[in-house]
Amino acid sequence: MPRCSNGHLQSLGFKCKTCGQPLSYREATSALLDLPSVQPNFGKTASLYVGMPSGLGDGGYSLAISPGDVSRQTKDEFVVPKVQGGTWYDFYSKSTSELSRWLGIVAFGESTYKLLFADAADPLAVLAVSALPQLDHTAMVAMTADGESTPVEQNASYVAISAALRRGFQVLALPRYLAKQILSDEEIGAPSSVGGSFSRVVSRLLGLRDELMDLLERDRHIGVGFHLMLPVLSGSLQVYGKGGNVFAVQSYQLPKSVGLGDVKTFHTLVACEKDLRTEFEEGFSQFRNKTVKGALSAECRVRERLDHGSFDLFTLIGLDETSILRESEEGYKAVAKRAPALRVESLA
Amino acid sequence: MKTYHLKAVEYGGKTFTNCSLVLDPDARKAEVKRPAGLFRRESVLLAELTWGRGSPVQVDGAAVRTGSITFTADDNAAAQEISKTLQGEAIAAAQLADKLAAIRDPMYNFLRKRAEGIEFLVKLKTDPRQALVDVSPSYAGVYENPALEYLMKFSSTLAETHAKMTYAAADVQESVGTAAVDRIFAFVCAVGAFQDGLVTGDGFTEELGTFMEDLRLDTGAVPSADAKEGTETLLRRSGPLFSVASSSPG
Repeated sequence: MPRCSNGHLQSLGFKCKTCGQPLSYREATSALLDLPSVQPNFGKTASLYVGMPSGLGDGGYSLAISPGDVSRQTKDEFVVPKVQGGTWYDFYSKSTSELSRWLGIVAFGESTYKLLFADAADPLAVLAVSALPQLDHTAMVAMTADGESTPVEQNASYVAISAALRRGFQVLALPRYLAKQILSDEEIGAPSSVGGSFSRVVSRLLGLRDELMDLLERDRHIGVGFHLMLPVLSGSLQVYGKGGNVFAVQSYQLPKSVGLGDVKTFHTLVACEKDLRTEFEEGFSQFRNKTVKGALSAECRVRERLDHGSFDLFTLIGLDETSILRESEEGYKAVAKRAPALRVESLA
Repeated sequence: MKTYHLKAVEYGGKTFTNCSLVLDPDARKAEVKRPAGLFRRESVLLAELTWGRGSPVQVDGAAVRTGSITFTADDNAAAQEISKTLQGEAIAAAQLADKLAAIRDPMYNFLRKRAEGIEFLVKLKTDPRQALVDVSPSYAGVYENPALEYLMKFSSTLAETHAKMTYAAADVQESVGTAAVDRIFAFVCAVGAFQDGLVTGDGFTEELGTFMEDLRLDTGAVPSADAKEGTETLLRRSGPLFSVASSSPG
């Protein structure tokens, strides 16, 4: 903007409104070398998807990683060139730096919450974990291999989870058998695969991401970085009878390798109608006092919603890191013994 | 070439009637012709003048005097026109317009380049990740993110175009005058303010219209959603800045 000979800065015009002197535009054009400043808003959540459809729920920004014939990078998609018979190590060794660079370009780390949703047995999961920037409020929500998975799947899942824990990310694991169980429990609009079932869990979980990330962060401060997730989607008290029964049923869903005595923290997130709030809060409190009293921290958070009758519930069991890895350790070792590159130690 | 009829010409102590004055802008010459005879159609050269030398020209009603020759034009308006031409004003205006035109392209380049940066910032505000992806092909990783690297490179290029514009203005300022150059710079600032408004979201339409009116330029609505399109619209209206060199702002 122009100034007069007395130095008064003015808006567009020809005479100074303060002193009446003519305005000079000669110097004013130099100010046009500075562009207006912009503070881009990268949103609260950035999500990375591996081995599943992207853009689920109210997830903010999403980027899908998938294999394809030709390498391609867009705002929403990172296509990794296929490797015939490729293992997690092939993708990891060939594409980690490129994916890291791309995550930097799309400012993935600029969102408050950084989430990785992955089928941990997918060979691309290790790549994704390794490329993620090491920042606070980063969590991996993974469907993990179980006893029924092949040793190769167990190997990939074991390495992906190990890598995430080593890099300091919060890990929230849904064992594959639980995803299958949700599949069989679904009555209406059932997804057609275990992967679809996991996608549905993710979609509902994203609606509670603020509460989820808050609880995970609090547990991190007391040294609990790994959680097992036990979900109930579209549950009904007509089936469970009362809120406390949901937790009782879930206690039987724990993996064989995990006992109630191993539980370090115990939390529940519920999305339900207002009238059910007390039901779940009291049921949670009773179950906790009776069954997992030794947990370092326990909290039930309820988000009220308008749906009548049904509820979504996610119980998060904080455990020592080794607990879930035991489920896939045998398969991991069997493969690593024959293929030394497929060891956790291969990761940089 | 323009020909004026003259009722009379006084030259060399004689008076000639029914003469003509032929002004040739290309050759910058003026010829005074008289009839070859009372009943003859052809005419002969009476005097030859060179215009634009700044020799004094006096006008008194329909009479124009310069040096030792006096014309009597058909009317006062014709006399004024002849006087201005002989004083070199028309040439001066044409020369000034030529000189001012030397600023036009550098000014266009500066404002067009700036529109590119503004367009990027608007995108960075509305869809930041797509804006980053759009500039990623040239990202060399010298700076921590593509936006910063793009803006650093952009600033350097913008400064070059700005320097070319100001150098071009400095080259002609002495001959065209400060007022004409300042008027062009005022226009540049107005377009810059319009561009900034697209990023900041400040309503600027009314102020811009008033200022364009003060600059005696078209005040029609400017498409405000697109930096490049809006800038081009304003540039298309800048013609009078380069053709009316002697007009002063305000």
